[in-house]
Amino acid sequence: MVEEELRIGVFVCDCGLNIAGSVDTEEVRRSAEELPGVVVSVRNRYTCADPGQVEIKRHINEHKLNRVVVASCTPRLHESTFRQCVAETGLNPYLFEMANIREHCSWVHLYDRESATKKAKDIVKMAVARASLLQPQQEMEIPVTDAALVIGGGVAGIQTALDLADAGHHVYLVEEKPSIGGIMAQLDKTFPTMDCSICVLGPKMMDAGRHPNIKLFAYSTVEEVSGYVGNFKVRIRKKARYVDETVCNACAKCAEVCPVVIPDEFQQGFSSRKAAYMAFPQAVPSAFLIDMERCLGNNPVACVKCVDACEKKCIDLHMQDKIFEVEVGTIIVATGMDVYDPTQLDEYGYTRFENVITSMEFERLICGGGPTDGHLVRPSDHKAPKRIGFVQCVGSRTENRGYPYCSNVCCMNTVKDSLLIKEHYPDAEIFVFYMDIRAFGKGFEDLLRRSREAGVRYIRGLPGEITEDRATKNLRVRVENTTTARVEEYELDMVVLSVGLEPRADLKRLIGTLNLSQTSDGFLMEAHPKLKPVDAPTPGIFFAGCVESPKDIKDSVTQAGAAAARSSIVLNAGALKGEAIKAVVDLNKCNSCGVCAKRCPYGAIKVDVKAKSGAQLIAAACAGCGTCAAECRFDAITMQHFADDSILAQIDAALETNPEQKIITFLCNWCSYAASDLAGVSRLQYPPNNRFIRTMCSGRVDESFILRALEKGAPIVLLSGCHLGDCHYINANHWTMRRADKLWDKLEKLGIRPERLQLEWISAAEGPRFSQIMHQLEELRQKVTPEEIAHARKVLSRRKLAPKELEAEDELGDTAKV
Amino acid sequence: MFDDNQEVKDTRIHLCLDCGKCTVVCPVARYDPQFNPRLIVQRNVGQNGTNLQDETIWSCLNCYMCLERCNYRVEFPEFIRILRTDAFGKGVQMQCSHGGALQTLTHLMAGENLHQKRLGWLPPDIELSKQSDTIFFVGCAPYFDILFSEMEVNTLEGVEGALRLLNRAHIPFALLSNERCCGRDLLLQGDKKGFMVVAQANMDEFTRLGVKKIITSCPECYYSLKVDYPRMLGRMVAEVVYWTEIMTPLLQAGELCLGRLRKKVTYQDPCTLGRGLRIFDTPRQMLCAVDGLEFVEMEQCREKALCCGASSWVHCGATHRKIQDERLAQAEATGAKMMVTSCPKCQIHLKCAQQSRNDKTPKIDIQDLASLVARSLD
Amino acid sequence: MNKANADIVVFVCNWDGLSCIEAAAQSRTYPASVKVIRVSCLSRVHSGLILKAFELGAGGVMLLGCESGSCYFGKDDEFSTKEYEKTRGVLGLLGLGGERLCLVHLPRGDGARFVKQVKKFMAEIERV
Repeated sequence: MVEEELRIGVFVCDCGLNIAGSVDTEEVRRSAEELPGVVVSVRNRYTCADPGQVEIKRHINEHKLNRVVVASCTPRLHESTFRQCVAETGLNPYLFEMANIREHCSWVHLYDRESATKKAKDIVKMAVARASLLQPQQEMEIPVTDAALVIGGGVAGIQTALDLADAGHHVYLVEEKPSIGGIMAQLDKTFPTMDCSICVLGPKMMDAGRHPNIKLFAYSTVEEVSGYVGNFKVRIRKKARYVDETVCNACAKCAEVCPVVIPDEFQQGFSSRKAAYMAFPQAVPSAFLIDMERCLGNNPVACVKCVDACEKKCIDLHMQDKIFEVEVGTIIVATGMDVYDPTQLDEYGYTRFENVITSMEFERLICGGGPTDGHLVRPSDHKAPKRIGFVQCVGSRTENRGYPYCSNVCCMNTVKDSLLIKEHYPDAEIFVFYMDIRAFGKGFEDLLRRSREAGVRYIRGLPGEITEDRATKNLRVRVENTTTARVEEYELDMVVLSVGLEPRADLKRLIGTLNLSQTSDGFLMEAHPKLKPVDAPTPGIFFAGCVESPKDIKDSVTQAGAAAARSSIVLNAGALKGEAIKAVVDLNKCNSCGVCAKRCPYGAIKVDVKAKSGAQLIAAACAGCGTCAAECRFDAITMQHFADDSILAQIDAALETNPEQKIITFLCNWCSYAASDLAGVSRLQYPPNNRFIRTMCSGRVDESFILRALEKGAPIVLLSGCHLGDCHYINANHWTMRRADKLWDKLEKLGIRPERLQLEWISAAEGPRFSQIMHQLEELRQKVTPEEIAHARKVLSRRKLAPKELEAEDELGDTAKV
Repeated sequence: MFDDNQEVKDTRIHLCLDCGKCTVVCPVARYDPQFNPRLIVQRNVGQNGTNLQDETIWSCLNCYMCLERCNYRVEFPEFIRILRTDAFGKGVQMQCSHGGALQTLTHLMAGENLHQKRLGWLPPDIELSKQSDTIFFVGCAPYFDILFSEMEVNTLEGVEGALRLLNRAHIPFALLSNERCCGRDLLLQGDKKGFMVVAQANMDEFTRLGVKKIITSCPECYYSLKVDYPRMLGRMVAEVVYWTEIMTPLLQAGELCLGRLRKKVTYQDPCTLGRGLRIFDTPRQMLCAVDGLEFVEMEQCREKALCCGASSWVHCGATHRKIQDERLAQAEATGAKMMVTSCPKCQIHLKCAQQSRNDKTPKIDIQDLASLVARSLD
Repeated sequence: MNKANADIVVFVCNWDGLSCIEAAAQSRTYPASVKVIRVSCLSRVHSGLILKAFELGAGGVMLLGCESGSCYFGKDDEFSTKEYEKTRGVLGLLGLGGERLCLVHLPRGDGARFVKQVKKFMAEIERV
């Protein structure tokens, strides 16, 4: 409630001829003087320029203004500039409102001065009505814990951890395997340089292991995460190794005497390990562990050979898992990916034919640290293969068993493998069966050229079937060579399936823990594909490496650096300021129904429904979408700066005169408002009947706003937002859609034609489409009869508007993740 | 423009990645180097209609093998149908097998004042239920047995077997006295007009008699009634069911018991029933429910089954013979004494192939699934 | 397919059969609705061709060939008889009536019997 007398100042901008050219700005200025609360109305040539700003400040001081309205361009351009200007006079910047009479008016109604001026006057009237109800707001400061959590110890996780640690931040590096290193530790050589993989990774692993700022949790998982950016609380479970890693000197005596022999997953099952084992020689931490699931037993203890053999007496078969609670400011997810299992592709015979192997298996066979000490032999008879084929795109670029995307690395991996084979066996005949060879990166085409020069044959066509000669175990590959349009048959000693990359199977658990989203290919969704490639939509969480999408080592390391830098911004800030658009719960009205908690895309509200605790809102986690306020059936939630009354006031102001001529449109700040601006910038003309109301998210639009618009005589209402899946607030527009569905049913029951409420998803790039929609709306508006408008006005004014009907809450479970 | 055609777009032909997997697995391409499905796409997409120089479009067997392996499940057989329809409409003469007799037969069945006398084969012991709104769609079996009598083709035996089993299972049904050919062959050949006439005539009968459910034992009729009729006519008045799909739940519930027959058999998956409609299991379940039957699979079975080598009475030649020989060889290699198939056309084409072999190996007995299973009841 | 005023198609072999037609043409007339199609031997005529005649509107089809042992090519009539029987069966099933197809063997130059057979055939078809 406003305590003191309203003193509103209105500043109408000519913007050179941009506005004045098609709008009578003097008339707009004059009419603003007559609005309630306005004490001064001024016209400027260029309000955003220095002289314009000085003038605003002068007027604020002279007239003791306590609300400022600038009628000029789009707030998405200069709102912060003017807020700054206003703040400099000591006035709270949230008492400032912009009226968009350029992108929304002068630029799109270039040839109808009368209508454009009328519309501009309406826009200013709406802005003044809103300004009257604005309240001063304080931006909250959130203290930041100067520590980061890195989940995943592959090359991306290691790099991020090192970068952050070197920058002086505390890092907790959590890796679920007994050693860090990830997939890169399993590779032989890397493209395009043909560096030895573990040789370049090893030193980094060592650095990460002994960096004073990095606390390494190997053989550990992240169990639970709570909190918000700057203040995450993490529970880490360190699994019992049954070996004291600080004492173990890796003498390997325990492994010598252990009686249990198991396939070694690091060697892709080609050789074996013991239950007492070290993951691989370069493991960090450099310590053994006991695989308790395969050990003969520790409850009761069945065999103590390892305990007896241990020099340092550091084996404790009764070790327990340990839980650690840590606090961090940011989280970087770098959990990597899995490799596609081609068993289901029966035409290739993987697991049925011994000499058909995957590219990962090939890496181990040719690696010096592998099961054959780097002698490339074929599995069936351990002889050196003379004719080898590579099949590309296995499990990638397909909708028929596999994944539709391209896995990025397989082409270059095969090129590298072909050269590796030539190094070992210069006379080997190598065939690569491909659809496309993607050699897009630095040095890639060079490597491909080297491969061709070495005599590797690249055959364009994917094999339709592979059969085996039972006697020799050779493989017969049938493929159409699409260049010659002939079906060819190749008899080969060995076939390597160049398998694609897939999201990890257990990603869902991590997604649940951290409230993340997936893209359609199953990898994690970034905040913006071009401009925020390493940020998660949830503030404070970043990605590095293949967890976000398939990529090679260079790109993983690059992303890791980016994630570390982005993370540093938060950690260095000491305290974070958030825009003061937050939800506030009135606990007196709250009924603890729990709906808001279910709707919030950020999990920022917690409600104990049974205990009737009231909705507990974590302001720091609130992103300000407004969905909770719109969904709350008890009107217990207020959105700061976008309160119900300020929006209703805009509707009333717009429809005060000639409502039957006007269409009320709700635009969301991020997509549809941006589209409307783009239509303006592009000077796309459309009819001047629309009046726009801005909210941060379409989820903010309460049912009551739409009904108010219809009650006040609007023929058509348009509700618009981002495309489903693109919502700036993760998935709040999903609730908008549901609300629209319900509202259509309601309108029908009230005898109001449901088409009078339109719903459109418009992306920020769709300027032309926005203009098209404006034309379509006007056509619709002309078909609405005065009787219909009158009927709606009558029926809606008779309805009790509060409380909202308590409909049964439909079972939707978790908010839908896109 | 051909490419703007929604039908063409719906086949997803533009997603073809040109990888060539289809050419490798296609049975026709295997024996005929001129036939290349990938090149047919190349030659005909983006043109102003079918490339009329391309004669290979008539050789496709519609066996769905390409679709099975394609990365994008491009509907190549449907694309072929569209090309043929376009070419046929432009007056291209296609090569019909058997002198075009089957095509002519279907056209004759389209006559308005047609009063067929097609139920003469019906044995007296089979019970019909005149009031039932379920019918059994017989298909062209009565005509096949006459036209292919020298090959000892007996497709009616299969129909009788199915009817006897339905009686045994107490499932009531009626038979149409003026049932027309389902029209599938005409549609596949590109004679869409011809198809529409017989299809509409059948639909009118169904509507007139209030038919609500149709059971059939011919996979081609099944596909036609279930998929093509609603697609081409815009609606279908009845539910369409393949006979094994109603029989096997009864077998599993113990409500129907089959008898005993000691034979070693193998099963030929008809392309339309198998890859086309994904019915692999229920025919096998029926076979295995016969006591004493030893069932063995051929090397290429289920999703990989090899086509019987002919389709819709178009273009039968040396290539197709080779495919049929291969299939017969695969059947013989299993050591089975009998090859069971649940499609009258597979029966006809494979028996035809058997006739022209030089008796190199003992002939495997080819039988219809329904007739075999019904025989076990005796 | 119009039953009334339907044509009769006669597939006639080029040798003995054709001689009957020519003899008939010289001394007597046969109805104008009788359309003659010459083939090199009756064994050329398979069920597809016969049915096609019906598809194109024929009311009846007659197969006219030589008598047993007289074939110019030394063939017997096994094939054409088989095709005749098959097609008859199909016509019967179709409800058109197998009577619409007849198989006639005549000696050289027997124009008179040809005309008699044709007229008898046409009368039979009228009745169907």
